Amino acid sequence: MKKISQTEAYNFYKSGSFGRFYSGDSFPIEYIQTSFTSDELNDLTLARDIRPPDNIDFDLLIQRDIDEVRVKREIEPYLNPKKSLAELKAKVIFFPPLLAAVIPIQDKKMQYYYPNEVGSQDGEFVYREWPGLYKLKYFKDGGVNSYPIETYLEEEYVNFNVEIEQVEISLRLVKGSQLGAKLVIIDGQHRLFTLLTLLDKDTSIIENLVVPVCILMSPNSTQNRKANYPVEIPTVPEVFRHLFVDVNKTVELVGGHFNILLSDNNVSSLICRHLCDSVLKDSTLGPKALAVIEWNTKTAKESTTIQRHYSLTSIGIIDQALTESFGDNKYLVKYILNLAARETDLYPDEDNDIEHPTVTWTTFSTTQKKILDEQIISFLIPPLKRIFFETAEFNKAFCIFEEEIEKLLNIVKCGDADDSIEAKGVVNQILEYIPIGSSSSHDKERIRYRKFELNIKERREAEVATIISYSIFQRSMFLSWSELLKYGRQINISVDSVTNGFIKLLNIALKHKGSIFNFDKPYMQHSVFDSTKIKPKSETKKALSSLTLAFLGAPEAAKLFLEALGNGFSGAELSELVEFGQNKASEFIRHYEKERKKTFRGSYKVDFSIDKDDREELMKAEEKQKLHLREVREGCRNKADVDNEFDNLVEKYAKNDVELASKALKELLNYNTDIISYDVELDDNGE
Amino acid sequence: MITYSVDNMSLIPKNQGIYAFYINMISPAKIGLIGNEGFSNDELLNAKKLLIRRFKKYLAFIRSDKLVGNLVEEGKAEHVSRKYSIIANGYTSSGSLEKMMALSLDEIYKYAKISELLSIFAQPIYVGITTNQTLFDRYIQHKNDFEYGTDKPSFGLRMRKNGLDWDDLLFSCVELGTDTHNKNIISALEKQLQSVSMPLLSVR
Repeated sequence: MKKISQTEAYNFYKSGSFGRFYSGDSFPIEYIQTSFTSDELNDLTLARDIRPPDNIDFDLLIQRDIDEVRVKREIEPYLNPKKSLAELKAKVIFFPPLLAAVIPIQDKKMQYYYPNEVGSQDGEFVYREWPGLYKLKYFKDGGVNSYPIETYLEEEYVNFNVEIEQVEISLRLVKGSQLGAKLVIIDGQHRLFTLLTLLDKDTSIIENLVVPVCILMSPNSTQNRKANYPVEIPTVPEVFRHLFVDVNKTVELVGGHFNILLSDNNVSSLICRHLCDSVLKDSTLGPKALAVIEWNTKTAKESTTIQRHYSLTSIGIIDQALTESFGDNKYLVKYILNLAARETDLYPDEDNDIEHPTVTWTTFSTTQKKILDEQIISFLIPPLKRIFFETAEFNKAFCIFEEEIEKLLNIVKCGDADDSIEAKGVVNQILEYIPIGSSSSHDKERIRYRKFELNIKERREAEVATIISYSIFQRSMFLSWSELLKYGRQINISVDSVTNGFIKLLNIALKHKGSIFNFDKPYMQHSVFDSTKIKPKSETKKALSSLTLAFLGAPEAAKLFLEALGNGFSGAELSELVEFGQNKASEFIRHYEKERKKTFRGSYKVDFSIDKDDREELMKAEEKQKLHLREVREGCRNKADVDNEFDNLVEKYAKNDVELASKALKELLNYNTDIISYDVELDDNGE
Repeated sequence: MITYSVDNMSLIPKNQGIYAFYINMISPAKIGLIGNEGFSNDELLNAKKLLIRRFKKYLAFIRSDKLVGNLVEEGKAEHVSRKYSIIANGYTSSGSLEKMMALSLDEIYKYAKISELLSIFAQPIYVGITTNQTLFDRYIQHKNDFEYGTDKPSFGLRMRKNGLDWDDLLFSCVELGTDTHNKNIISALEKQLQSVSMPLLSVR
């Protein structure tokens, strides 16, 4: 009886030009450039359609996101414009090729590797097959334009010369739970989505359309190569995630958070992705907690601030904060990820002619990335989750969200039919990331969603410290955390223990709804706030961090911090920490003084609380100073001879405010000593 | 004597003085034991492997010196004496490793902790002076040479070439006030220190 061959199991065939893309020793991608009729477009898969039935995976969650607003606003009108017949006939349209990756699927789940490659030959043909997934059929060709390929034939790799203009690919497009392939769009999913939507609405518009498609394969992502190669072989999802980011980086489609989450090129991106994945999988946190971390904002501008009233934070803020606080300090990174424990894996003794770069924030090999992933998951993700879900104020904000979403879920379950449908639409948008439809039939869902947001906004304003919602404050938190981690590294305390202390410190600093950070406090004006508006500058971040750490200048707070480290402490250690905290208070007041002088210089002319004569004196002194500075620039005066009366007057007027700010801060921080204004710290480069 | 590392380098004196770098290859954190309790057997086993590996690397480094010279037969005129050119490479014996290998897992953390305190008992690997710079500025200059420097000969480059990391170093210094700040004196002191301690990475 004839055995059913793998070939007979294939159910989709295409011919086209074959190619292999690589540079030097880079991981190769192979492709078939071909075309699909509009009917065949249904054989292509959107990333969002390969979601597994259980345990949603964050990697898939991010790739399946489609900006439907953009499809409706830009792409659909491009293909189907509302124009006059004459205008339409003059219109020229074209889509560049869609990129479709051959993704192995089994039991409806994406697989990490292709089956091992098997080669064969038959008369004038050479075959390369990844059994059960796809097969390439080449004509042998010894001519001058032939192309060399290699395939695994009878237990060794054998070279053939083939023709590449006409190559057939056979695919087993998966149906059911057996192993097979899906052609998943990694570039052009919005174009495909538009075409499929149009086909759904009116087949006639694009009935005979033939779309260019480039089918991409990662032939070396196989178990066999994984087992026999000295370096880590990237998995199929990794290869195509790389390409997905690379091809989409420069266009609007993938922007904001997606460039962070899909990148494998820096430690911060790895952390952000693992944080989301871990929050989603965490049995006590789960989808509700992921919903309060913004991870799918489309534009770069909006990605670094909090956009929704119910959110706790945003991946853009975390990415920026991590990079600012840790990116330049590889020694601190070594400590927080305990890379020393993995030294033999990161830098193996045996040479093998393979380079193992020193791991930095942006430099690491594929093999080293695997280890970084493991260390991030073990050592950094738990404390990060604790900072956002255990710190009292963040926890309060999260509880408000949980209570409100529970109310919605109850309506979905127990409300009348209309209410339940509306609530379901809102819940889907918040927890499932399925946008509420844009048509008027969804108006009630939109209204309910707005009410939900407004309700949370009002509750948070009444119950939670408002400062925690500012991105600049969250970035300052990371800066403070990194300072305390440097301290922890010196005395060899685990990141988790330092985080205990840090959470304790934040709870102290943010007590009474974070009132110490309110804009109406005398020391907060000019330094952090300009009236009620926060100054989103790097100096503000440093000042807020100094203010948070200044709490350690009070012995009681310092004791609580040291106790939270759980390591015991001596009187000398306590004094050292108190001094550190008081230095931070000094730095803050120094910052206040600088900013106060700056605003005074810019506003004294219209400050009518100053006597007219005094203002005139100031103006005269400023004019004189400007004149002298001009003369210095022209080379007719020494810099040392510039009149400094204006500076002295500014100093005199600012002095009162500095004293007032310093006094107010001293009281609120519970200091026994005065806070004096001076700069203490130098950064790592001595600046 | 106060020592400084990457963690507290901002405290390095902003004065002129004489300074030395020491190797600090072994500490609990450097062998993956962060924190002070609750290590699993696997973690301790890994730590022991790392301890031995780092110590071997340290020994290889301090014995990486190479002597080059000529030998000439004694008591004969130049044209009839036999001559040899000699190259001698430093090497290490495994004697000191045996005791380390015999340590039990329970002893590893404590061993590493004490070892860290003993770093300055070994010879410095570099001795230098600052006359027109502060000690802090010179430290930063060396660190920048290590991290970003080109192939221009420097202490930082020699560190890099030996496969050491900057956090494998401790910095120690003596500040010199303005009254003792005499270029001749400190230059002589530098030579004196170098000649008695033979720092491996000082070249002049």
